[in-house]
Amino acid sequence: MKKFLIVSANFIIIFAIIFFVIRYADDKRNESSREQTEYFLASTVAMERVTANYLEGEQHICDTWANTINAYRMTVDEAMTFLTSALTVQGASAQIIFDDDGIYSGFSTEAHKTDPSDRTVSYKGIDIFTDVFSEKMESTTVQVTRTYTNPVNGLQSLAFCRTVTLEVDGTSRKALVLRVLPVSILEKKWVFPNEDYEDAEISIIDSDGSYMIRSSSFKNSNFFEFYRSYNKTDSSGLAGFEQDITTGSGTKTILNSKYEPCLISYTPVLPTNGWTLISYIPESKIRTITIDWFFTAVIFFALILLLILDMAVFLKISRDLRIAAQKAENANKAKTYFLSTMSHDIRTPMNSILGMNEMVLRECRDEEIAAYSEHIRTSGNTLLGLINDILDFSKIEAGKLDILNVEYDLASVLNDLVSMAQNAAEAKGLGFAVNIDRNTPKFLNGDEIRIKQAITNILSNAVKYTKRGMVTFSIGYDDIEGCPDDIMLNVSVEDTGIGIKEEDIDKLFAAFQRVDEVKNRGIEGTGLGITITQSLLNMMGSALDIKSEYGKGSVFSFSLRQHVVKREAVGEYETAFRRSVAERKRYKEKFTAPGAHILVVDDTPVNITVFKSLLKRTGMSIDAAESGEECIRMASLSKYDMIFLDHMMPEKDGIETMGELKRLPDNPNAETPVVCLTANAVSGMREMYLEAGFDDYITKPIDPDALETAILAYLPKNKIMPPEPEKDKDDGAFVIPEFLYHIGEINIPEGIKHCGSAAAYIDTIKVYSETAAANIEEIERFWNNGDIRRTTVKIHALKSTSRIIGADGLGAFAEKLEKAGNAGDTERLADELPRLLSDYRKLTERLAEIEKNGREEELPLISDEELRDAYTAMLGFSDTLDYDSMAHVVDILSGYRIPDRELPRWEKLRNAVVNFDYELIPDILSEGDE
Amino acid sequence: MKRTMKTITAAALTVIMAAGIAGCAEKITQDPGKAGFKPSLDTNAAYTMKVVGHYSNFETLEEEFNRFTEYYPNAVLTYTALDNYSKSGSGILSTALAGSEAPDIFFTYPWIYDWPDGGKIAEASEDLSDPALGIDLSCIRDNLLVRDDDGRILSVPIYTTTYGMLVNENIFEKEGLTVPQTYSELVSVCRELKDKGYAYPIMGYNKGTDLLDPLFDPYFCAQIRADRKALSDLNEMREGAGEYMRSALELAADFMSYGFIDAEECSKLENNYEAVILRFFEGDVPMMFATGNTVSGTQKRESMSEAFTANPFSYSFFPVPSTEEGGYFLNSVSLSFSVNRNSNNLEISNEFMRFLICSDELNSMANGKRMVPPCKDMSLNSVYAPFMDIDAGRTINQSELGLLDTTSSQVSKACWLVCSGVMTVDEAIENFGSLSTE
Repeated sequence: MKKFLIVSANFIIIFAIIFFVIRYADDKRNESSREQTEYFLASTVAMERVTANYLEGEQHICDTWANTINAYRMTVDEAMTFLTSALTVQGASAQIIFDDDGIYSGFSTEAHKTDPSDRTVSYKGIDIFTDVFSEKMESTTVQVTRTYTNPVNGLQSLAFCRTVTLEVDGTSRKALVLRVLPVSILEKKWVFPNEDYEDAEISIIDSDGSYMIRSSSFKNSNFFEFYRSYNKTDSSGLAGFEQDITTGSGTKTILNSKYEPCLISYTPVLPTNGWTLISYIPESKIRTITIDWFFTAVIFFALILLLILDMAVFLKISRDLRIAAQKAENANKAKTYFLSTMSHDIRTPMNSILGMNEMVLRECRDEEIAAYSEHIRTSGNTLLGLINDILDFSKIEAGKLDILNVEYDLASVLNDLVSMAQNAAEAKGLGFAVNIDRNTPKFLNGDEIRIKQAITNILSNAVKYTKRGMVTFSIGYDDIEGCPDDIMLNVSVEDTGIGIKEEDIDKLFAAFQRVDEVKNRGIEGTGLGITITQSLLNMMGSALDIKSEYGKGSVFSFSLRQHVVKREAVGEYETAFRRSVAERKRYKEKFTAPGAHILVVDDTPVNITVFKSLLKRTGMSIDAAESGEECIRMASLSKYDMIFLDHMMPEKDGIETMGELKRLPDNPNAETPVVCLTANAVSGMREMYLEAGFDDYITKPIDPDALETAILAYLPKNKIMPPEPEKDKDDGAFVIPEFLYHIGEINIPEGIKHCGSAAAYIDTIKVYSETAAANIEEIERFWNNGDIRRTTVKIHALKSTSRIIGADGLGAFAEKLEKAGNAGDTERLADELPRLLSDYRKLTERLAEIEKNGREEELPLISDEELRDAYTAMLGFSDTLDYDSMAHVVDILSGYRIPDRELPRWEKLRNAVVNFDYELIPDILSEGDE
Repeated sequence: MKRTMKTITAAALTVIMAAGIAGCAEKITQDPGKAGFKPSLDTNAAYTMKVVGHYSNFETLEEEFNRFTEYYPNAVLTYTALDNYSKSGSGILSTALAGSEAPDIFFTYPWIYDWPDGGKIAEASEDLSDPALGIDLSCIRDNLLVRDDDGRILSVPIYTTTYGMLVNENIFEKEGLTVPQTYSELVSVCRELKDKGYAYPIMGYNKGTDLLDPLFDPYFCAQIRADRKALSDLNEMREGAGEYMRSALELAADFMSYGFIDAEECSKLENNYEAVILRFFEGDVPMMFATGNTVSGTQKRESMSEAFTANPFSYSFFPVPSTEEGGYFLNSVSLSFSVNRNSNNLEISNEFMRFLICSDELNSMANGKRMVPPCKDMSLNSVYAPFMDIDAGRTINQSELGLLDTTSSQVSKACWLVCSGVMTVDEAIENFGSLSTE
């Protein structure tokens, strides 16, 4: 379209130029033509004066002759002699013609060309005297014939006439004296007087149009006939033309015998009877200013050619640019596709890895395995960090990374940063110093995430590139004069690392470039960290400052203007940090929602498992579907409080499924929030998902915290409940089995205190229980063998271990007997030892439950209402023979601890499902009612 | 990219050069009027040449001048009509030829050499068959080229003519009639037209001797063309030679007897040319006897006739059906050109004749003038279309016939005397040879 407009505009300009030039030239030509025409007419009129003078002169000669003849009453012979002597002009002749013989015969001073002796002349058949002798002619000054063929010499001639009276045989005879002039003589005289008109010609016609003098360009024997022959006209047009020509002066354009336009100007020759002098000139000769059409056409086509040439070049360049742009776009698309694919393909398994690992971390009792798992978590997060770096870089390049300022707690940010960096530093054996200005305002407004990201990058780099020594992380602030509500947050990270050469500092800011590549090849990273940091800081109005001494260390710092929300100092940061460190590994659900019913859709069963596991403690009922079709089917049957829908699925992907869900008639989930689960974390995805109708999206690997935050945001508020109160304040990570609380002989808090942690306590109980039988057997054996000392030692051990697990009563009993043993009080030992061992055995028997109930005890207890709902759902599925759904409900119930009173029924239900005895389920469910 | 630029630049320059060359070429080779003509003189030299004749206007010749000057742009060619040119005895041509401004080319007619100054005219005429002149006479129909006793060809036919009748085709269409192809049809059609109210179903020239010539002359010539004795007797005006006219005279008398042609009405026409044409253009005359010379004036006069301009109609020139087999195409030379052998401009005059004497130019001249061209490769103006249907056996060349001018005059006079009722057929035959032709 643009191309067409440009080409059109160029053509219009060219045509406008040509039009203007032609119009201007045409105006000039017309103006010149008018002037020339007027001048030509003026010249014609002037020429008429000359002609009139000439004719009057010739007539005067003729009149003189006639007067002389009349005066001397000459005879014919005398007159002829006189006339012969009077002729002076070569070619001219004189004739005496009698008009009374009917044939106009007479005598000529010139002999007949074919007979030199013959001087007679006859005008028989040549009608030239009618007008001459007319009364009209008599009144004119000049009496001249039309052009005729002189019978004497065959020359086209005209004759000036005057009547004379001759003496013939004593009588008077009227005659005409003619002064005959060949037209050729006159034609030579009649040359257009103005040298400006070299091609002009002069003709003279009589009132009938017959030529007196005919110029070479005039054809025919009559001017009007000539006009009619070569100009389209009818009889009335011709009459008008004749009228114009013979009655006045003027100019006209006519066509000549070559059908070329010619200008004629005409004016009456006054002394004659109706003669008209006509000047003639081809228009092509009179137009001094003419448009050279050929030249104009050449210019025009040259301009067009130039335009076409320009357009061709323009189009060529345009096409090249378009192709280049297309290639760039394709490359960008390829990059985006690659990033998208990479993101998806890496983040999907990472979801499983980190999710499962999270579950391992949550549930593992083995410290060694937990340590391994922690390594997995760290490495996984590092890998995610690399991917995120690339994704962030892609977002920055695409201009789709936005700075979102929110209120944030600086202490929280510092917690996270120090936590991350300190672990990494400690792992490398580096010292890590934190230097926080305690007066720094705690509550600020800014992009917490990007600030944290920027600092994380430079902290990570500091740790990465420092082999020994320490890393110092400093935070301070400066007030901004005149802006009491803003501060300049000063951040610096100093290390004693390898340092950077002066010439390499700039390379830090180049994407994918790493300084000292060979030296640092063992250090993982994409080379994007500083580039991203710099970009983020630039976007936030700051810039990274680098001071470095090669081999000694570097200082990375920046100052960032932040709005202060509340002037509360960050204070004793270390205390808060230590506390947070202590609490760091505890997981505690943000909420519980036992009445909530959500649906998760993912084609990967492991992902579903991870998803369910992460939310297990929230008590929500979670249905799962492994395809879009299944999702639609389930969503059409049940009302869910939230739906988590995976994007990338075979057959029908999340967006298609979302579309169908929206179009589903009578959809019970029409208003249900739908959150997209995606491993695509590249820029632009958010917009795409929101546009597709999703309410939000969560990237994989799923961040448990983000997941719970999202649920909190979208789940109906009336279904959200606070988390279960912690029964073990000291170790929330481990749930103390419920039955332990029912054993009055043990003091659990005391036991945990002794053991250092709930986990250790549980482990200790397990060990206490497992070793009880052996201990009892040994004590009895030693006692029976009379080995009082060893018996006493074993009782001492029993005292200690019992007290460790909080079995204070048993411990006190054992202490009493220990004292008895040490005192050698065998009687007392004999009396009371069996009771001690009995108590010990009873306690361990009860504690042994921990082995079989330990896991179930960890599950959340299902509420009566939820259980009732589950049973109702199962009955419903039973009616519709939907065994899969029944099995699904059983799966869900397996994630809960069933109240003891319902355990028999639960066992039956579970067995029925396991054994595919679905038909028994209605009866099992109705048992309670009977 | 560079290659594309070069291609575009080269194309642009080529177009510009082509445009330039085209512009120059226009000046060098301006559309030649005649493909076969090759100028033999210096085309840049100045020339003058004068043609004289009796035509007061000769546009078709002037068009030839224009075409010729495309080869010789500096040639000034003029045509001048001389008074009394075609009048035998005026001597104007011989006078002009002897004058100081003698013509270079002049009109001649087959009978001109019979004029009192015919000898002088012949003497002044160049032998156009002289191979040295390079005039290609082969394009002229052989029987139109007349050689004198010395075998010279002193004139070359430019126009030929024939007898026929102008037919107002609109009237025939309107009345549901077809143009007569036989004599009986002619009579029948005339009768029907008369009955339909056409006062003058057929008209002709005003001068008595010419009135029935279009019917009579072709028929008469057809009777004697194969009879050498008759021709000889007629030319010699031997006693009894008038008998050869009998059948023709009887035909004329028969046609006159029907009263379809009103001699008195015809005599009102001022002349046999413009007046006849304008009368025909009045639109109420279905048929008008005429010659090709009259037809030559029709085109120009269409616009001069107010009646024709107001109510134009279609017309053609048909052979007059004098027999039951149809009419004849009696072809005779109307106009020839001769070259003044004493001309001061002989070279350019001969060059002009070389240019003119060819089928293209002669056909062009004849078509423009509505005359019959003299060339073998004849192209007739559409108004002559009916003559194209006449077979060769009914085509007669008057020159070849050898009828002397004087004989022709006696025959014409006899015809008129019979038509006008002055004489009977027998009387006319009897008085053949002594009929006054004044």
